[in-house]
Amino acid sequence: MAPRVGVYVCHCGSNIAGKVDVKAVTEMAKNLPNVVVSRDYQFMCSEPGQELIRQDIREKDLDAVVVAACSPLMHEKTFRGTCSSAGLNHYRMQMANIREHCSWVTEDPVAATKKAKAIIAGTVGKVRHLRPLAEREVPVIQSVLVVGGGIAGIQAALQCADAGYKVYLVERKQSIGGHMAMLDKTFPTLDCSACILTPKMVAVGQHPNIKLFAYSEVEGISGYAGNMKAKIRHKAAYVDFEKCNGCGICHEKCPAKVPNEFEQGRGQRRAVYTLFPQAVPNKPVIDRAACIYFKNGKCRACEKLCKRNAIDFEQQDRVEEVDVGAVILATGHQVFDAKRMPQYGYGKYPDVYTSLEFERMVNASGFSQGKVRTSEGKEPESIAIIHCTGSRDQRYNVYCSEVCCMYSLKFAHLLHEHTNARIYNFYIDMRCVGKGYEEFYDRLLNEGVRFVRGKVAGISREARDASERGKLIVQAEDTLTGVIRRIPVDMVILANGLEARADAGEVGRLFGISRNKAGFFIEQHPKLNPFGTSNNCIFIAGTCAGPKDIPYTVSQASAAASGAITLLSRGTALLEAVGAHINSDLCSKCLTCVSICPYQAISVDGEPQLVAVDETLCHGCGTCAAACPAGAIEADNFNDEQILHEIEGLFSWEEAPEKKTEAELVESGAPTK
Amino acid sequence: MKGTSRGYEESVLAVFSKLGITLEELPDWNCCGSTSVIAVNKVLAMVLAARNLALAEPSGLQLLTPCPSCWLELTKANNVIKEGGKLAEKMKEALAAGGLTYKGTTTVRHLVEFLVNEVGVEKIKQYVNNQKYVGNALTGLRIAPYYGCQIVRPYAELDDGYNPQNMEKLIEALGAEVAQFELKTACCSGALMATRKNVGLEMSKQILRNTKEAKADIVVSACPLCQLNLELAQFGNSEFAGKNELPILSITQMLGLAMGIPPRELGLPRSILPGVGKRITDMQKQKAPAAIGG
Amino acid sequence: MCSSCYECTVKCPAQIKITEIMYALKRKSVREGLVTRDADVHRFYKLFTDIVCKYGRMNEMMLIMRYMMFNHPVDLALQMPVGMRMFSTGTLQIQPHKVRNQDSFNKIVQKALSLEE
Repeated sequence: MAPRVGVYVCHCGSNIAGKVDVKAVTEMAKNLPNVVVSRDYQFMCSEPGQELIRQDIREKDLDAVVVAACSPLMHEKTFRGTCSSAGLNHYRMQMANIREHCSWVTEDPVAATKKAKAIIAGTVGKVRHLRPLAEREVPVIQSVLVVGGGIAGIQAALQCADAGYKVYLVERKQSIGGHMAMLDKTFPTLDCSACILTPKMVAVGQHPNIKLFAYSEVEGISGYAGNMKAKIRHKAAYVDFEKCNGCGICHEKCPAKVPNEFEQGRGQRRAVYTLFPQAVPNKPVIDRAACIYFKNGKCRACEKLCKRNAIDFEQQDRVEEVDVGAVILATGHQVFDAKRMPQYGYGKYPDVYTSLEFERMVNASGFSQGKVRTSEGKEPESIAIIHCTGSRDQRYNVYCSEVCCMYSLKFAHLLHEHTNARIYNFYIDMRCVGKGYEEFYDRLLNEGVRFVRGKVAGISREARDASERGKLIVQAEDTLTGVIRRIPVDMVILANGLEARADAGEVGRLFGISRNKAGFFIEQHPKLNPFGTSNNCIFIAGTCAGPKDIPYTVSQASAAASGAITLLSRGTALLEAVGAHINSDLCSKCLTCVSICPYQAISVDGEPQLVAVDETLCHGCGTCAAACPAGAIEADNFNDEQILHEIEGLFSWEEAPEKKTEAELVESGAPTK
Repeated sequence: MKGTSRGYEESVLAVFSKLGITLEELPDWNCCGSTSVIAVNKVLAMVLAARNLALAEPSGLQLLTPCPSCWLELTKANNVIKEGGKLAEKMKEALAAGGLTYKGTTTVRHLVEFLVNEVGVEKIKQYVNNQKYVGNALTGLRIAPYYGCQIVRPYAELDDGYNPQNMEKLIEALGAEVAQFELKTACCSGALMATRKNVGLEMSKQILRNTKEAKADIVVSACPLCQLNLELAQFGNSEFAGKNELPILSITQMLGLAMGIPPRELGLPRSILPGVGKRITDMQKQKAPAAIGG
Repeated sequence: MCSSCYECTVKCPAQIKITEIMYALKRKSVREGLVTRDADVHRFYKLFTDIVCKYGRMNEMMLIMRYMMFNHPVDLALQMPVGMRMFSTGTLQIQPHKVRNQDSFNKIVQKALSLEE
């Protein structure tokens, strides 16, 4: 029996109707082969619009539906729902994009109308040959993988674990805590960072539902939505974490000293070391490159002193596989390397510090025991804080790093507390957008901090008179007074911005998540889904998705957790039905498709050899179907017949037959051309 | 450089001849316009520079220029031609009016970078160590490398824009000490020395003061106009009289001295500051008696 | 007053070619007569350009003399010692050097001037 097609042309307000002559288009559609009804409406996606479709499906016994409107990315789900609720298999509905592909990108209305007619004719041509498909329901593994143990990963892990799900938290350092553990105080409340962070860290360490894999990295991920296998490499720490009780004697007595990365290189640590005193887990690891034993076979002091025999120089990396249903990426950020701005003298002048270096300096357990001193050990009399180092700059990072204004104000306040110095903040704009932030700025204004509105041009040691001798001269234009200032200071703190980690690309490749121009992971929708990704079981949280402060990070982490929980709580997930199928009669076993499949969904095995597509892994991209030299592969609803009919429709709409009555259309054996 | 920088030119010819590199003076070159013509007429400025590029093209040789301002304008003109567009078309049209064409294949090099990258520090060292005139060695002298502005900005090719090192490499190759100072890429004021003398003097003096702070004995300059300005700032000025006078040498004058070429051949007598050659010899006698061979 | 040191261009975070804008402003101010008798830096640039257009090469003596003779006679007098020094060392040329292919050069210059926006 000839298929009965319904065409629905949406005005989309003036988005389509303002450019395309929707009435003419609807008229033309009536004359297309197999079309029994063609309507237009202001907003097809609205309830009345959808009802039009449902009614026609029921009353006119439609077999296929074309909705000519916006992009399927917007409303395919909507209209699929409309069709299935009226009893029509939703894979027999196809959208004709006459907005993003037509009205929005064509200047001339006449040309746009012609194009819309062609697109619709093509879609009608195809939709007549669409087959009904059914989605597969697969069980979802009831566990979550959280990659990264900073505040984002910690929050996400706790949220999922508290909801009753099993969580694997993988952190590449030997302790969780991330950058937040390095901070002294947090703005605007001036809470001690470690004090608010450590309870959460301990909760992670003690939670029955969380398996904490510290000093580990995710090496591989395979599988499909809701059923993934993660390969985790536990790096050799040369310390048996089971035996070690964290007494600390090994790192107290270790003779080898190297620069301490946690203290930003300004302090020292031992070859066997823990990250910081409140580390979770509080187990040390041995740095192979620094250890005397690994370098020349001597020492082994830690081994001798350890009462639990926990030192094991023979330890190897260990790889473990876990099954997970959802993944939350919380891999964090890195800070802008201030050496890239030589005009600020970082690395050249010893008293120019980065933000993290200053955090550690002013922290009571940092390299300076909380005392603010210059590199010569003196108390500084004047200090400059330079905003926007590396951010809002076409030459480095174009975006604003969101947190620097606030932490620069925090620094000013801390300096006000710790010293009697004159403090200068050099800024372009004051970005205090969060709750309590502007009030914090007001507080600073009352504390007598000197604000100079002007981006610092450079730091120099060139002294032009006695007052400048021996100082760092900060040159900036005070744009509010229009004067060029030369301000001699003893110490400079650079508010360097946040950027994507250097290895974010590798993480992205591993999980199949794209990154934007700046290197941050791309969210599913910047406004309406900032924590999801294009993959419906992978979520992102924290600074790996873009620079943000702690409240936003925690919120996003819980949002990502809720995404994962939603996925897991259903127990099952629906796999998109569109897939590829191999006709083994035509298959010559050339194996081109096997290597070309981006999802590694095709494999060959059995006796005799059979090349087959794993339906669960297949995403229906069609690459194999296009590549197969024998034409043995067919992609659902994108097979040769369907595509050729679409192409013919595109070119032949102008020759549409004269307007027929509905009865005639039904009775005529609807021509296949 | 037939006028005020005659000394520089003489030293360039002398040094390159000793190095065994043939320099062919671009036949019928014209003034590139520097920073002045472009303030009056953009197309003319670019065309003046392009004419030199066009004249050099047929020979296929690299166009070497000892002046950073020329290097900047020539490079700018080259870039405009290579990128194409309205200005490039106008430039080609103007050149055609005089019977010249330019396809964009001429490479422009600056003397300083050429010496380091093409000739090479090793080769230069050979000449220094082989020289017979021991009395001209620069060992024990502190030399301040003054780059000026246009050699590092806006095109910092083949050297770091904020912390260039080419001149330091040359100074060290000659056996002298580098007197590192903050303002090595600061502007000497250029043409302002003539049009806004009070501003120009101050800018140049600041640089001299900074090199003095670094305990420099000599300042070597990459730009003939900087050399002139730094000399003018000292001429007749009590702040830089007598012991406080700083001889300003061009790159090739410094190289030539180390290679044993007599000061006269290096154009030293042509300096605005009288007696530069003798001053340097006195310095050498004071600082490195060993080098003079006792 | 801009000496074209390009510091601004290199430092600008928005990568604005400020030095080129300065040149454009200089050209514009001359074209539109926004110059005063005292602030006569533009005269220097114009004289420079005129000399180059005529001879193809620069002659410092001509430039300085013309620039200072009637407008800054005091400054010129103060410059005498320097001038004498330069004269004696042979770095001040009285006779201007010229480009050889005057004809071709002139045609190029004329065309370039006619193409100016």
